[in-house]
Amino acid sequence: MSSSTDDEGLMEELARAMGQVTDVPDHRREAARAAFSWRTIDEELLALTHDSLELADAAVRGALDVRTLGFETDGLSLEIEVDGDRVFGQVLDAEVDEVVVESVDDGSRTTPVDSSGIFSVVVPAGPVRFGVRVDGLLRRTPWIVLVPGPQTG
Amino acid sequence: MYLGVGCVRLQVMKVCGVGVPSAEETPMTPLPEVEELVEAARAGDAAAWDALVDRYLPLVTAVIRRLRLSPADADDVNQTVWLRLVEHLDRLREPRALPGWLATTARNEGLRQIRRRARDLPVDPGGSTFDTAEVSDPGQALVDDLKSHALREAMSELPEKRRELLLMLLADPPVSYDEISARLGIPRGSIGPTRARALEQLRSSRALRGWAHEAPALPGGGFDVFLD
Repeated sequence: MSSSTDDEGLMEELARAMGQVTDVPDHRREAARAAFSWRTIDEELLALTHDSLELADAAVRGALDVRTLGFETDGLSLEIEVDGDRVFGQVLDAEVDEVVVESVDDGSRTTPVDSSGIFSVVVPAGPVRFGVRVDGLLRRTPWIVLVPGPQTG
Repeated sequence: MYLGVGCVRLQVMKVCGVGVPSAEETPMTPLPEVEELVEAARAGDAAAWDALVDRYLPLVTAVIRRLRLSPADADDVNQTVWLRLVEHLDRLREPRALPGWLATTARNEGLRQIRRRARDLPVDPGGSTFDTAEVSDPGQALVDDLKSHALREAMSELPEKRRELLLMLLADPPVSYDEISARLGIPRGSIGPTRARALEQLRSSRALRGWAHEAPALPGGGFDVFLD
Protein backbone atom coordinates (compact mmCIF):
# COMPACT_ATOMS: atom_id res chain seq x y z
CA MET A 1 0.00 0.00 0.00
CA SER A 2 2.85 2.38 0.73
CA SER A 3 4.16 3.69 -2.54
CA SER A 4 7.62 5.26 -2.51
CA THR A 5 5.95 8.67 -2.90
CA ASP A 6 4.12 8.08 0.37
CA ASP A 7 7.38 7.12 2.03
CA GLU A 8 9.12 10.25 0.74
CA GLY A 9 6.28 12.43 1.97
CA LEU A 10 6.41 10.80 5.38
CA MET A 11 10.19 11.27 5.53
CA GLU A 12 9.71 14.98 4.79
CA GLU A 13 7.16 15.30 7.58
CA LEU A 14 9.52 13.44 9.88
CA ALA A 15 12.40 15.76 8.96
CA ARG A 16 10.25 18.75 9.91
CA ALA A 17 9.05 17.11 13.15
CA MET A 18 12.52 16.10 14.30
CA GLY A 19 13.98 19.44 13.20
CA GLN A 20 11.65 21.14 15.71
CA VAL A 21 13.49 19.27 18.47
CA THR A 22 16.85 20.78 17.59
CA ASP A 23 15.22 24.21 17.19
CA VAL A 24 14.63 24.50 20.96
CA PRO A 25 17.04 27.00 22.55
CA ASP A 26 18.58 25.79 25.84
CA HIS A 27 17.48 28.84 27.81
CA ARG A 28 13.84 28.13 26.88
CA ARG A 29 14.17 24.64 28.33
CA GLU A 30 15.70 26.06 31.52
CA ALA A 31 12.92 28.63 31.85
CA ALA A 32 10.26 25.96 31.27
CA ARG A 33 11.78 23.66 33.90
CA ALA A 34 12.17 26.49 36.41
CA ALA A 35 8.46 27.32 36.11
CA PHE A 36 7.74 24.31 38.32
CA SER A 37 9.15 26.10 41.38
CA TRP A 38 6.11 28.44 41.20
CA ARG A 39 3.67 25.64 41.76
CA THR A 40 1.03 26.32 44.38
CA ILE A 41 -1.45 23.70 45.44
CA ASP A 42 -4.95 23.87 44.03
CA GLU A 43 -5.89 27.44 44.84
CA GLU A 44 -8.81 29.40 43.65
CA LEU A 45 -7.78 31.69 40.80
CA LEU A 46 -8.76 35.28 40.22
CA ALA A 47 -9.85 34.68 36.64
CA LEU A 48 -9.14 37.22 33.91
CA THR A 49 -12.44 38.83 32.92
CA HIS A 50 -11.18 41.47 30.56
CA ASP A 51 -8.01 42.81 28.98
CA SER A 52 -8.22 45.97 26.88
CA LEU A 53 -5.70 44.36 24.50
CA GLU A 54 -8.48 41.98 23.52
CA LEU A 55 -10.64 44.78 22.14
CA ALA A 56 -11.54 43.87 18.59
CA ASP A 57 -11.00 47.34 17.22
CA ALA A 58 -7.27 47.87 16.88
CA ALA A 59 -7.67 51.62 16.27
CA VAL A 60 -9.54 52.05 19.56
CA ARG A 61 -6.97 49.87 21.24
CA GLY A 62 -4.18 52.01 19.86
CA ALA A 63 -5.87 55.18 21.07
CA LEU A 64 -5.93 54.01 24.69
CA ASP A 65 -2.99 55.26 26.69
CA VAL A 66 -3.33 52.67 29.37
CA ARG A 67 -4.02 48.97 29.30
CA THR A 68 -6.73 47.85 31.71
CA LEU A 69 -7.32 44.35 33.01
CA GLY A 70 -9.97 42.90 35.28
CA PHE A 71 -9.86 39.75 37.41
CA GLU A 72 -12.66 38.20 39.36
CA THR A 73 -13.67 35.37 41.61
CA ASP A 74 -16.59 34.87 44.00
CA GLY A 75 -17.18 38.12 45.85
CA LEU A 76 -13.85 39.67 44.91
CA SER A 77 -12.51 41.58 41.97
CA LEU A 78 -9.27 43.27 41.01
CA GLU A 79 -8.91 46.00 38.42
CA ILE A 80 -5.50 47.04 37.18
CA GLU A 81 -4.23 49.73 34.85
CA VAL A 82 -0.83 49.60 33.23
CA ASP A 83 0.69 52.99 32.47
CA GLY A 84 4.26 52.74 31.25
CA ASP A 85 6.09 50.60 33.77
CA ARG A 86 3.68 51.44 36.61
CA VAL A 87 0.61 49.54 37.63
CA PHE A 88 -2.29 51.01 39.54
CA GLY A 89 -4.63 48.50 41.06
CA GLN A 90 -7.81 48.41 43.09
CA VAL A 91 -9.35 45.53 44.96
CA LEU A 92 -13.13 45.84 44.95
CA ASP A 93 -15.91 44.29 47.01
CA ALA A 94 -13.66 43.13 49.84
CA GLU A 95 -11.49 44.35 52.66
CA VAL A 96 -8.02 43.39 51.59
CA ASP A 97 -5.25 42.34 54.00
CA GLU A 98 -2.42 42.58 51.49
CA VAL A 99 -1.48 42.44 47.82
CA VAL A 100 1.48 40.34 46.71
CA VAL A 101 3.24 40.95 43.39
CA GLU A 102 5.06 37.87 42.12
CA SER A 103 7.65 37.98 39.38
CA VAL A 104 9.85 35.27 37.92
CA ASP A 105 12.73 37.74 37.75
CA ASP A 106 12.23 39.62 41.01
CA GLY A 107 10.51 37.15 43.33
CA SER A 108 7.55 37.97 45.58
CA ARG A 109 6.91 41.19 47.38
CA THR A 110 4.08 42.58 49.40
CA THR A 111 2.83 46.02 48.54
CA PRO A 112 0.91 48.47 50.75
CA VAL A 113 -2.82 48.90 50.04
CA ASP A 114 -4.81 51.93 51.20
CA SER A 115 -8.23 51.82 52.83
CA SER A 116 -9.95 51.99 49.44
CA GLY A 117 -8.09 48.90 48.28
CA ILE A 118 -5.83 50.92 45.99
CA PHE A 119 -2.16 50.15 45.40
CA SER A 120 0.56 51.19 42.97
CA VAL A 121 3.78 49.39 42.03
CA VAL A 122 6.51 49.45 39.43
CA VAL A 123 5.80 46.37 37.35
CA PRO A 124 8.64 43.88 37.08
CA ALA A 125 9.50 42.80 33.54
CA GLY A 126 8.38 39.44 32.20
CA PRO A 127 5.56 37.26 33.55
CA VAL A 128 3.95 38.54 36.78
CA ARG A 129 0.90 37.66 38.83
CA PHE A 130 -0.93 39.37 41.64
CA GLY A 131 -2.09 37.75 44.85
CA VAL A 132 -4.88 39.30 46.91
CA ARG A 133 -5.23 38.19 50.52
CA VAL A 134 -8.69 38.56 52.00
CA ASP A 135 -9.66 36.94 55.31
CA GLY A 136 -6.32 35.16 55.32
CA LEU A 137 -6.95 33.49 51.97
CA LEU A 138 -4.56 34.34 49.12
CA ARG A 139 -6.08 34.26 45.66
CA ARG A 140 -3.89 34.78 42.63
CA THR A 141 -4.35 35.99 39.07
CA PRO A 142 -3.00 33.94 36.18
CA TRP A 143 0.51 34.78 34.98
CA ILE A 144 0.52 37.65 32.54
CA VAL A 145 3.13 39.80 30.80
CA LEU A 146 2.63 43.52 31.40
CA VAL A 147 6.10 44.83 30.57
CA PRO A 148 8.38 42.98 28.14
CA GLY A 149 11.33 41.14 29.60
CA PRO A 150 14.98 41.90 28.92
CA GLN A 151 16.35 41.10 25.48
CA THR A 152 17.95 37.68 25.57
CA GLY A 153 19.20 35.05 23.10
CA MET B 1 16.83 15.80 23.12
CA TYR B 2 13.23 14.81 22.80
CA LEU B 3 13.65 11.09 23.10
CA GLY B 4 15.50 11.64 26.32
CA VAL B 5 12.37 10.81 28.28
CA GLY B 6 12.45 7.21 27.15
CA CYS B 7 16.18 7.23 27.69
CA VAL B 8 15.81 8.30 31.30
CA ARG B 9 13.60 5.31 31.88
CA LEU B 10 16.03 3.05 30.10
CA GLN B 11 18.83 4.44 32.20
CA VAL B 12 17.13 2.99 35.21
CA MET B 13 17.42 -0.36 33.46
CA LYS B 14 21.09 0.35 32.68
CA VAL B 15 20.79 -0.04 28.92
CA CYS B 16 20.60 3.59 27.92
CA GLY B 17 22.41 4.83 24.85
CA VAL B 18 23.85 1.51 23.70
CA GLY B 19 22.33 -0.29 20.77
CA VAL B 20 21.64 -3.75 22.05
CA PRO B 21 22.12 -6.17 19.12
CA SER B 22 18.70 -7.74 19.49
CA ALA B 23 16.99 -4.38 19.82
CA GLU B 24 15.60 -4.26 16.31
CA GLU B 25 12.53 -6.31 16.97
CA THR B 26 12.19 -5.31 20.61
CA PRO B 27 10.14 -2.18 21.13
CA MET B 28 11.81 0.25 23.48
CA THR B 29 10.18 0.90 26.79
CA PRO B 30 7.23 3.05 25.79
CA LEU B 31 7.13 6.66 26.92
CA PRO B 32 5.35 7.06 30.20
CA GLU B 33 1.71 7.95 29.68
CA VAL B 34 0.94 11.64 29.88
CA GLU B 35 -1.47 10.83 32.69
CA GLU B 36 1.34 9.30 34.77
CA LEU B 37 3.57 12.32 34.29
CA VAL B 38 0.81 14.80 35.10
CA GLU B 39 -0.14 12.79 38.17
CA ALA B 40 3.48 12.67 39.38
CA ALA B 41 3.99 16.39 38.71
CA ARG B 42 0.83 17.15 40.69
CA ALA B 43 2.39 15.26 43.56
CA GLY B 44 5.44 17.54 43.33
CA ASP B 45 7.78 15.31 41.29
CA ALA B 46 10.16 17.73 39.52
CA ALA B 47 11.60 14.97 37.30
CA ALA B 48 8.11 14.27 35.94
CA TRP B 49 7.71 17.98 35.23
CA ASP B 50 11.05 18.02 33.38
CA ALA B 51 9.86 15.05 31.34
CA LEU B 52 6.66 16.93 30.42
CA VAL B 53 8.78 19.92 29.39
CA ASP B 54 11.09 17.76 27.23
CA ARG B 55 8.11 16.14 25.59
CA TYR B 56 6.14 19.28 24.71
CA LEU B 57 8.77 22.03 24.41
CA PRO B 58 9.41 21.41 20.67
CA LEU B 59 5.67 21.87 20.04
CA VAL B 60 5.46 25.08 22.08
CA THR B 61 8.64 26.41 20.44
CA ALA B 62 7.31 25.67 16.94
CA VAL B 63 4.00 27.44 17.63
CA ILE B 64 5.77 30.51 19.06
CA ARG B 65 8.25 30.59 16.19
CA ARG B 66 5.48 30.96 13.63
CA LEU B 67 4.47 34.27 15.19
CA ARG B 68 7.92 35.79 14.51
CA LEU B 69 8.09 37.61 17.83
CA SER B 70 11.21 39.40 19.04
CA PRO B 71 13.50 37.10 21.06
CA ALA B 72 12.47 38.84 24.31
CA ASP B 73 8.76 38.52 23.55
CA ALA B 74 9.17 34.89 22.48
CA ASP B 75 10.95 34.13 25.77
CA ASP B 76 8.16 35.83 27.73
CA VAL B 77 5.51 33.81 25.91
CA ASN B 78 7.39 30.56 26.48
CA GLN B 79 7.79 31.30 30.18
CA THR B 80 4.13 32.33 30.51
CA VAL B 81 2.92 29.13 28.83
CA TRP B 82 4.81 26.89 31.27
CA LEU B 83 3.83 28.97 34.30
CA ARG B 84 0.21 28.68 33.15
CA LEU B 85 0.57 24.92 32.85
CA VAL B 86 2.01 24.75 36.37
CA GLU B 87 -1.00 26.63 37.72
CA HIS B 88 -3.34 24.60 35.51
CA LEU B 89 -2.00 21.14 36.50
CA ASP B 90 -4.64 20.48 39.15
CA ARG B 91 -7.43 21.55 36.81
CA LEU B 92 -6.29 19.55 33.82
CA ARG B 93 -9.20 17.14 33.32
CA GLU B 94 -8.00 15.44 30.19
CA PRO B 95 -4.20 15.07 30.01
CA ARG B 96 -4.49 13.75 26.44
CA ALA B 97 -5.69 17.19 25.38
CA LEU B 98 -2.42 18.68 26.66
CA PRO B 99 -0.74 19.20 23.25
CA GLY B 100 -3.78 21.13 22.04
CA TRP B 101 -4.00 23.12 25.27
CA LEU B 102 -0.31 24.07 25.10
CA ALA B 103 -0.39 24.97 21.41
CA THR B 104 -3.49 27.11 21.87
CA THR B 105 -2.16 28.84 25.00
CA ALA B 106 1.17 29.60 23.27
CA ARG B 107 -0.60 31.04 20.26
CA ASN B 108 -3.01 33.17 22.30
CA GLU B 109 -0.23 34.57 24.49
CA GLY B 110 1.86 35.27 21.40
CA LEU B 111 -1.01 37.18 19.79
CA ARG B 112 -1.41 39.16 23.01
CA GLN B 113 2.26 40.23 22.77
CA ILE B 114 1.74 41.26 19.16
CA ARG B 115 -1.24 43.41 20.16
CA ARG B 116 0.72 44.98 23.00
CA ARG B 117 3.54 45.89 20.62
CA ALA B 118 1.04 47.23 18.10
CA ARG B 119 -0.46 49.48 20.75
CA ASP B 120 2.99 50.95 21.46
CA LEU B 121 3.29 52.03 17.83
CA PRO B 122 1.64 55.13 16.43
CA VAL B 123 -1.57 54.23 14.65
CA ASP B 124 -1.34 54.58 10.91
CA PRO B 125 -4.90 55.31 9.76
CA GLY B 126 -4.12 54.39 6.17
CA GLY B 127 -2.14 51.23 6.79
CA SER B 128 -2.82 47.86 8.21
CA THR B 129 -2.88 47.91 11.98
CA PHE B 130 -0.25 45.27 12.47
CA ASP B 131 1.38 42.45 10.65
CA THR B 132 1.33 39.16 12.45
CA ALA B 133 3.69 37.73 9.83
CA GLU B 134 1.59 34.61 9.99
CA VAL B 135 0.79 32.02 7.41
CA SER B 136 -2.57 32.57 5.76
CA ASP B 137 -4.26 29.75 7.62
CA PRO B 138 -3.37 29.77 11.34
CA GLY B 139 -5.75 26.89 12.07
CA GLN B 140 -3.91 24.72 9.57
CA ALA B 141 -0.56 25.80 11.06
CA LEU B 142 -1.68 24.54 14.49
CA VAL B 143 -2.84 21.27 12.95
CA ASP B 144 0.57 20.88 11.23
CA ASP B 145 2.45 21.53 14.47
CA LEU B 146 0.26 19.05 16.36
CA LYS B 147 0.85 16.47 13.65
CA SER B 148 4.61 16.97 13.98
CA HIS B 149 4.20 16.37 17.70
CA ALA B 150 2.28 13.13 17.01
CA LEU B 151 5.09 12.02 14.66
CA ARG B 152 7.67 12.54 17.41
CA GLU B 153 5.56 10.46 19.77
CA ALA B 154 5.24 7.82 17.04
CA MET B 155 9.03 7.74 16.62
CA SER B 156 9.42 6.96 20.31
CA GLU B 157 7.26 3.86 19.82
CA LEU B 158 9.68 2.35 17.29
CA PRO B 159 12.31 -0.21 18.23
CA GLU B 160 15.59 1.55 18.84
CA LYS B 161 17.37 0.35 15.70
CA ARG B 162 14.57 1.36 13.39
CA ARG B 163 14.37 4.78 14.99
CA GLU B 164 18.15 5.16 14.74
CA LEU B 165 18.00 4.24 11.07
CA LEU B 166 15.35 6.85 10.31
CA LEU B 167 17.26 9.51 12.26
CA MET B 168 20.45 8.73 10.31
CA LEU B 169 18.56 8.89 7.02
CA LEU B 170 17.18 12.29 8.04
CA ALA B 171 20.54 13.62 9.19
CA ASP B 172 21.92 16.76 7.61
CA PRO B 173 24.63 16.45 6.38
CA PRO B 174 23.61 12.95 5.25
CA VAL B 175 25.13 9.83 6.78
CA SER B 176 26.46 7.47 4.11
CA TYR B 177 24.93 4.02 3.65
CA ASP B 178 28.33 2.51 4.50
CA GLU B 179 28.36 4.30 7.81
CA ILE B 180 24.74 3.41 8.56
CA SER B 181 25.57 -0.19 7.76
CA ALA B 182 28.59 -0.12 10.09
CA ARG B 183 26.83 1.67 12.94
CA LEU B 184 23.71 -0.50 12.92
CA GLY B 185 25.47 -3.73 11.95
CA ILE B 186 23.12 -4.39 9.05
CA PRO B 187 24.04 -5.01 5.39
CA ARG B 188 23.77 -2.02 3.04
CA GLY B 189 21.21 -3.89 1.00
CA SER B 190 18.78 -4.14 3.87
CA ILE B 191 18.74 -0.41 4.64
CA GLY B 192 16.00 0.30 2.09
CA PRO B 193 13.72 -2.55 3.16
CA THR B 194 14.31 -1.71 6.85
CA ARG B 195 13.37 1.90 6.19
CA ALA B 196 10.16 0.77 4.49
CA ARG B 197 9.30 -1.45 7.46
CA ALA B 198 10.09 1.32 9.92
CA LEU B 199 7.82 3.77 8.10
CA GLU B 200 5.08 1.18 7.92
CA GLN B 201 5.39 0.63 11.67
CA LEU B 202 5.30 4.39 12.17
CA ARG B 203 2.02 4.62 10.25
CA SER B 204 0.43 2.00 12.44
CA SER B 205 1.85 3.44 15.68
CA ARG B 206 -0.51 4.27 18.50
CA ALA B 207 0.40 7.97 18.29
CA LEU B 208 -0.42 8.26 14.58
CA ARG B 209 -3.54 6.15 14.81
CA GLY B 210 -4.66 8.40 17.65
CA TRP B 211 -3.85 11.37 15.48
CA ALA B 212 -5.87 10.02 12.55
CA HIS B 213 -8.74 9.62 14.98
CA GLU B 214 -8.50 13.17 16.36
CA ALA B 215 -7.45 15.20 13.33
CA PRO B 216 -10.87 15.28 11.61
CA ALA B 217 -12.23 16.96 14.75
CA LEU B 218 -9.70 19.76 14.42
CA PRO B 219 -11.02 22.18 11.83
CA GLY B 220 -8.89 25.29 11.38
CA GLY B 221 -9.68 27.74 14.12
CA GLY B 222 -11.83 25.29 16.04
CA PHE B 223 -9.36 25.08 18.90
CA ASP B 224 -11.69 26.44 21.54
CA VAL B 225 -12.34 22.86 22.56
CA PHE B 226 -8.95 22.85 24.26
CA LEU B 227 -9.60 25.88 26.38
CA ASP B 228 -10.98 25.45 29.84
